[in-house]
Amino acid sequence: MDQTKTRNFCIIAHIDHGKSTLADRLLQQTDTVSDRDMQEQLLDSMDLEREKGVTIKASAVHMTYTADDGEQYYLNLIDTPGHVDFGYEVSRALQGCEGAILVVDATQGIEAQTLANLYLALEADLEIIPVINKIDLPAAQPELVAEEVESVIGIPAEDAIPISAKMGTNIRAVLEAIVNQVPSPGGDPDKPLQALVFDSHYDAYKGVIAYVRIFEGGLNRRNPIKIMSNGVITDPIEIGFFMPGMVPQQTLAAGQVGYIATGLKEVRECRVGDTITLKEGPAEEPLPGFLAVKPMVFAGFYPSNNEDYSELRDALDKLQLNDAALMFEPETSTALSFGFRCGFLGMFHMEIIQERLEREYDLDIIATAPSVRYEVVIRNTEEVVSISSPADLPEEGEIEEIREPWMHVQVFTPEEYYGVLMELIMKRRGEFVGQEYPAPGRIIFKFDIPLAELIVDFYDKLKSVSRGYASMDYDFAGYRSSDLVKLDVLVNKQPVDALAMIIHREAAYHRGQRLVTELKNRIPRQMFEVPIQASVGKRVVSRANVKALRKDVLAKCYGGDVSRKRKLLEKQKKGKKRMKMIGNVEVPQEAFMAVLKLNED
Amino acid sequence: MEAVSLYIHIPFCQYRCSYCDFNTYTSLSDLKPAYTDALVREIAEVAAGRNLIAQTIFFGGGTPSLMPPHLLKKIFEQIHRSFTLMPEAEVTMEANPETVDKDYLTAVQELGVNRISFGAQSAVASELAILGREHTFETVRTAVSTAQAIGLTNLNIDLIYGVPGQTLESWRSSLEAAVALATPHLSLYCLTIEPGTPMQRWLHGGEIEPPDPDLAADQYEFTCEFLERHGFEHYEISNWAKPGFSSRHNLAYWYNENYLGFGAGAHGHAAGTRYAGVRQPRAYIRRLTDNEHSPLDYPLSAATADHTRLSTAEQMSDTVIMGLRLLQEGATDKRFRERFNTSLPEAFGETLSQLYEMGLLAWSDQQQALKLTRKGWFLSNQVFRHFV
Repeated sequence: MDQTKTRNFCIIAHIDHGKSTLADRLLQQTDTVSDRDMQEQLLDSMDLEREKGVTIKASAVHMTYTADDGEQYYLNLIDTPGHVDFGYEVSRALQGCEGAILVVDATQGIEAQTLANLYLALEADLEIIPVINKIDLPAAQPELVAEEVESVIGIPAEDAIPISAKMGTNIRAVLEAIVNQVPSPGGDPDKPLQALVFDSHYDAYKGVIAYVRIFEGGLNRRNPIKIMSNGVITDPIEIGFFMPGMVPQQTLAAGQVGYIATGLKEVRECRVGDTITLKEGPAEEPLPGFLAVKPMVFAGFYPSNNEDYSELRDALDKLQLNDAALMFEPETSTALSFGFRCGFLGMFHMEIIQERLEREYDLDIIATAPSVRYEVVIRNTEEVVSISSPADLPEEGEIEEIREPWMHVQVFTPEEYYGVLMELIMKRRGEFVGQEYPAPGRIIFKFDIPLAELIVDFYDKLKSVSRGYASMDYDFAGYRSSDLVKLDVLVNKQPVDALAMIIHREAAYHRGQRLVTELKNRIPRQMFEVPIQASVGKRVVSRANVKALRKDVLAKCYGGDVSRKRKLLEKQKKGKKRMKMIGNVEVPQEAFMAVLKLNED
Repeated sequence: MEAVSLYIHIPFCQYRCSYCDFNTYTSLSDLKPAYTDALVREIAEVAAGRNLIAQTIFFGGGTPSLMPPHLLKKIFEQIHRSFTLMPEAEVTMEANPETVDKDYLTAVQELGVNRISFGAQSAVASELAILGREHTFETVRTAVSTAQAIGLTNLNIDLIYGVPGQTLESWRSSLEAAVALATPHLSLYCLTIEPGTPMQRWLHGGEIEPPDPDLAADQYEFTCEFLERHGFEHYEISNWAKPGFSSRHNLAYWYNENYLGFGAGAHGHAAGTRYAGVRQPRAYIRRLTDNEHSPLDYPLSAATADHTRLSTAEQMSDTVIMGLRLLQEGATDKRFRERFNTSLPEAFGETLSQLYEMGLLAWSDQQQALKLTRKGWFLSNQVFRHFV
């Protein structure tokens, strides 16, 4: 295959702007997939993705296209995940390309996420081909949107290609632009192999399948390979292209995009961003930019039915096979029994994992309030401890300082939501950084905000106050010292571990009150009065009492009632067995679940 | 010779009360003659070939007082054919006050009824309305004095507390009105809103407020003290009687003794078995009219819909649970030992000590009987749960 005839590109788009539909059309137009086999939105193969309208796993498809100049070209479409939690994966996928199609909805214009990915693409030095989609819609304003594109990235408005992916309008123009504008990949086939892993998935028969872009050198399917970050050596089981199914090849050469079936058992052994080389005659340096992704958001996952513990562990194991970013370790709670402390890239990642556990593994999960990783400076010793569970926070007296992760955030919004968004940001301890006006009537807000404030329904609030128009993107800014405290909830003076949280001092009172009220309403009356308290250190910030049970009597018990009442008592006794003991107080697990659900509001 | 109590179920009512989930029907009164014949057959079948002594009889419902005397007569005749009636056996009939007059009461008295239990429920008109009762308290007064006038003085009155809209004051007025009727027995029940009743629908629909359990506790507490002052003995959780007037039939339940249930949906307990008859009166009649069946083991009949043999452990726990309902007498160790060849502490040692510690259970002076403490009266379910 002629390297000069190869084009590697990706598609950048906001959710719902039509990325998948355009990808489908490209596959059809190049006869990669027959119309008959065309499954709607082929690239998003997971149900969940299709439902959420986003791509979770990137994919890479090899197409053959005969251009207007009569030549045959090899086009590799690298699909990118469409959510901010996966920013790092996006950057790796972009690194594998020389060009990017920027899809903008003709009715909506540019959104924050598109812009964020676009900046990543510009940083990776990609050739940008702007495409204005959905021109078939009555509300389409392709000229206006093209002007917006021009003002944001400086590509002349007349160069933007108006298309309708849905109707199949002007798709060939997009293919021609790829051939004519995207540079062919460089790379010396004689140098030692450097292959960038930009995605992976686990296959039960072939082990970890690494999605690779070959930068230098090449490999034969019989060459033993080496993973550069960890020195793992393995014999590939198979190499090839996605067309879009896996089609084995004898060789992969510089400039090409394809897969290596590594036979490895864990995706963690071959992570996104890593470099693969050959065992014999390896490259001296890996490709730049490899980062071990670290989870940012943590939560305890507990099965609502305690007997499902081992099933939950198996399910997490299986999910981890395909998801190097998912972390988990066993955790015990008095309130919720046995479960796992899990780490995620972000809230969206957490939500996906939870949904997959529930949907694919039929597990009912209780999640504790999401938390971030805090840095705690210990008094006197100045030692810094990193904690991701409130339970691990040292005593108040031992703490010199608590630092929490802050994020740079940018929000893209129509002007009229300026006020409500500013209010939301300020309420969440956000610090305004600046604003830009990329186009008439539109604003980009920039601000810094603690990650802890972002992970509790910030995105949903943002969407609801802006009627769905505002969009956001964020990245890690650094750790900053904050006035943080541990809020404990005590039932009859006993702390309830699952309900503890680390929270800003000013929010502790309000939150404590809410937890106490909710718990009070859900703990059944006991034979003694039960105080429910929320406390910060030794100071009680909220208190309520569950009054003592005064009367619990079966009024009537005659001949016909005996067996019925007996059944009732047996049922009550069983119910009691399912109760969790907090000290000497019996609390139904449902009470904790209900209180934890508060976090979802 | 075996002594048993008899329960006879009459599943007919003129109307359904809003709180009632009993096995009763308002549109089947045409079935009364056929139902009577079926009862007669069932009694004959169960008692056949056994030498049984009936120590008490109880006509419950439904509304037994809707049965005309000539039909009751047939039932009594069969009872006399099948059982030896103990001298001075207690024979109770439940009655709705508006269904009886002097002639009727005289007729049933002549048949052998010597105790009447009147459903009064409340002396407050608005509460009677919520409960779906179609009589006034004045009707109760008349019925009671009519009975007393003909010498039927062993009377009970049922009242309900914990009714939506009821207050401590209004409950007090009902109690006072009831006590004024000078009946030697009172059954006072805390309202339980049962599934499937109109009252439960009203509650779900927000038409009535859920009863306040603390108010019910206040009402109960007040009742205990009020009736003690009026010379009543609080002999069972929900029953009060002047000395010597405890219901002997109901005591058979609380002693966990044997009783035979006859009629649609009637429950019985004998020969280590609990059983219940088919609930639908038509089905009941059909089963007993169809003669083609092989004889069943005592105490079952052709109408039996389900039955369970009780393990010794179940019988022991039933005996304690039912016995503890008797607040003064308690679960007596002697009776328990005679029946099960083991003492209460041997059978329930661990459980008992937990409950003493919680202050819910105590022994009587000479360790003869296990009793609920006064605290335990209010929390008896918490106690009983430990025994199942």
